[in-house]
Amino acid sequence: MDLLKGKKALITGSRRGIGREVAIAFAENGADVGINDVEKDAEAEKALAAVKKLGRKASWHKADIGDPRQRERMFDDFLKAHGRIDILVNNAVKTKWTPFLELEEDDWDFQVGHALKGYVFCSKRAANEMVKQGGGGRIISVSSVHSFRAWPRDTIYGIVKAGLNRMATSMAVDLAGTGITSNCIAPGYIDSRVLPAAQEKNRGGKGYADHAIPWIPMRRGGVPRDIANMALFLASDLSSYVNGETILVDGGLLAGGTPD
Amino acid sequence: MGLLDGKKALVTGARKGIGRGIAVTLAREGADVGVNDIVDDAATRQTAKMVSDLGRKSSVHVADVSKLSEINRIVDAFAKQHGGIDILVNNAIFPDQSRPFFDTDEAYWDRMMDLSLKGYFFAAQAAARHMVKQGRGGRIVSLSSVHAYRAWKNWTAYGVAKAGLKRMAKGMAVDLAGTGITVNCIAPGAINNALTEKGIDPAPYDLSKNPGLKSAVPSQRGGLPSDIANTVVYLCSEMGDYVNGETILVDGGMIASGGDM
Repeated sequence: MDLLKGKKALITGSRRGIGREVAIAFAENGADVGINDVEKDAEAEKALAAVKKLGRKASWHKADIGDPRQRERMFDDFLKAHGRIDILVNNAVKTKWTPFLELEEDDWDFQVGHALKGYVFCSKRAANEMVKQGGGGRIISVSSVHSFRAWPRDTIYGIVKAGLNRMATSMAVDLAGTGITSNCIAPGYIDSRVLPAAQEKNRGGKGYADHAIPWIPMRRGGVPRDIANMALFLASDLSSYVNGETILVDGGLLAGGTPD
Repeated sequence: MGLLDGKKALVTGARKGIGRGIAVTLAREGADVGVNDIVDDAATRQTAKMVSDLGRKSSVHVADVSKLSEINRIVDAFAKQHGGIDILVNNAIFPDQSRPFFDTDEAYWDRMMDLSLKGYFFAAQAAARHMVKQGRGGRIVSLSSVHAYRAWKNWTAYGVAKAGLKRMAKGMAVDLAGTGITVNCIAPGAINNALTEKGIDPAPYDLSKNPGLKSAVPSQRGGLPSDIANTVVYLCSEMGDYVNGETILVDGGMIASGGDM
């Protein structure tokens, strides 16, 4: 499929897991990709290699999206490498589960300053470049089922993810007429563990989230490709009328209840 | 190779507009398609011809899908003719969708609910029965609306029905757990539904002639049947396998901005 032919896409937190699978799906569909993460480890090398193997250009961008200087330099370097930006996928995240009664301000600053503030200002930079370019664009943020309901100890994570949903709606309004769409994907249980190759076929299956399977109508854990497929849909011309929306990709988990 | 190769899809209310767009787009992706509408006219036949012109099998199923007996008749006939059913798209609606609150009498209420809520439910149930027997999963997509998210004056009955479908998708996702059938809704915004002479998309609404619409839609254009049809293809393909019990707004950001016209 060639849904993203000629597009230039930056994906934060893409050395492994969902981010990497998004990069691969985009490259399969004709996009050149910027891989961002906080360290260039073996997983990062795998991501870069996978994109290049598909005949697409891959650039590496080491940056913590919560740090303004690193963030801006990431965009500067991406633009230098690719000439423009068509798609931004906000995916990098740092999580810390803390009971409400034990919350520290550091917990707040750590998570909110990273994923919520980081996504807003990454999106702002990308949108400004897209407006300058004049050809529209796509900004996609990875939210979560936690944005819709609570599980124990998820106060800050839930606030961050709910905030991203609300960010997308404001972006739709403030970017009216620019041809840029802003949307979120809300994953449920997604098996994004680093697995040995032999266990790849079991991803999302037995041993991943056995306690949750009875509550997931599709009777399987999600896999990164489920999210990457939605990202592909939202990045492509198929979805040019989807704007300001958050779409659940959870196998039906939130349709009913969960055991946790 | 299409995203829906080998699939058998029944689309209700498919003689024009969004329904025609869905039927033809599913066919473009490799599905054989059954075209339902209440009237067997040139438009209905044209949709079926557009499907067969793409090299796919097409069938016409004339029925009033607000009546259970007719729903069951055409779902069974479709499955028999095509060797099964993999996809059902609930899309049928009648033209007078709005009515002032105090003019909403029992007859109008019943007509709205019989088609848009009861009819969609029992069509989904009939299709799901076949899908469970077939044992290879399936896809049920119902057309909801921006009217499920907020009110505009004179649209209460329609909005209630369309909101009910969101809850129906969740209920069916849970009730069909373990069957491999996904059940979802799509909620269109302002889509130009006009009968097309060629292709599936009429010209989009001219926003300069609709200043209210222009201020309500961040994407600054009217919607088209292809916007909805492409979302149906996504949900019905392998790509959409983990989307379940969900409603996807396809409205150009209208609800995000409040939709104030």
